[in-house]
Amino acid sequence: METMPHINNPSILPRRTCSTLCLDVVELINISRVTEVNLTSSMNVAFIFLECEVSNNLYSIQGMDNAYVTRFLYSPSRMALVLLDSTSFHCFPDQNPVHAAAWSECYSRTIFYCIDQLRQEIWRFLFRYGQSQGNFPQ
Amino acid sequence: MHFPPSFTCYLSIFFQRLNIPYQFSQVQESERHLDAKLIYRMVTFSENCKSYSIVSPDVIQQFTRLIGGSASIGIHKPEPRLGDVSTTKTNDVVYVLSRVYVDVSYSKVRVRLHAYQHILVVDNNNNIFF
Repeated sequence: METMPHINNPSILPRRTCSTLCLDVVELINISRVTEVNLTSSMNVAFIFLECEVSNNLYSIQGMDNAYVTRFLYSPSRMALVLLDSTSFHCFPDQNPVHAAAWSECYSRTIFYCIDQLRQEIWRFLFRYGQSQGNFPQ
Repeated sequence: MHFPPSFTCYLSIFFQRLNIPYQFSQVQESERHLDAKLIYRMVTFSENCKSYSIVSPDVIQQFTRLIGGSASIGIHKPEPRLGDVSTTKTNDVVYVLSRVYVDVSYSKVRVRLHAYQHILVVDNNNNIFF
C-alpha cells in the first residue's frame, strides 16, 4: 500500500475551513487521483465543492455531514499546497458548462438535489407553521 | 413529495446504518382523476412504505446532519422592507425540530414534523438566548 505524506497529516488533512460562508466544513485537498467505485458497493456519497461554488451559488452545506470544500491541490514535487485552479476541477457539482452534461445525471448529483429539496420542504413547513400562529411583532 | 428511487433507497440505507427500527405501513391518497367527457372521479392510491420515527435527540442530530444543521430551525420574522438588513432580534419566534416521522416508499417520502416554539429574549448582559 502506497504511503502518501499528506494523508493523516494533521497540518494538511483533514482540516476545517474558517470562512464565514462555510464555517467548520471539513476541507479536502485535491490529489488528482480518480478511482471507480461500483454503485452497488457504495454505502454513502460525499459532496465536494469549490470555495467559489459555495460563495457564488450559495449552496446550503452548513451543518451537512458529508459535504466538503476543497481549495488546494497537493503538489508532490514541492511537498506543499497549491491554490486550486477552478477551471481544471472536475468534481461534483461541476458548474462548468462543458462538463455539466457529463455530471448532470450522476448519482451523487441526484442525491444532493433531493436532499436540498427535502430541506426546502422542511424549511417551508417550519416557516409556514410560524406564520400561522400570528401574534408576532410587526 | 416525489423523489427518484435512488434517493429513497439512499434514505433507507441511511436510516438502516443508524439502526432506526421501522414499521411497514400502507399510505392511501385520494386524487381527482380526469376521466372521459371531462368527468372527474376520485381515485385512491395505496402505497407500501417504511415508517421511521425519529424521536431521540441523538438521531435527530444525525438526521439534521444529513439535510443540513440549519434545516432544523425556522425563524419567523416580519417581511423586511426594501433596503433593510434583516437581523435576528429579541421576540423573534424560533421553531426547533423535536420529532420527525418519515415514511419512505418506492418513489415518495412523507415527512411529518413536530417543533418546539422558542422566543428569543435578552438577559442583563445583552446575550440573546432561547
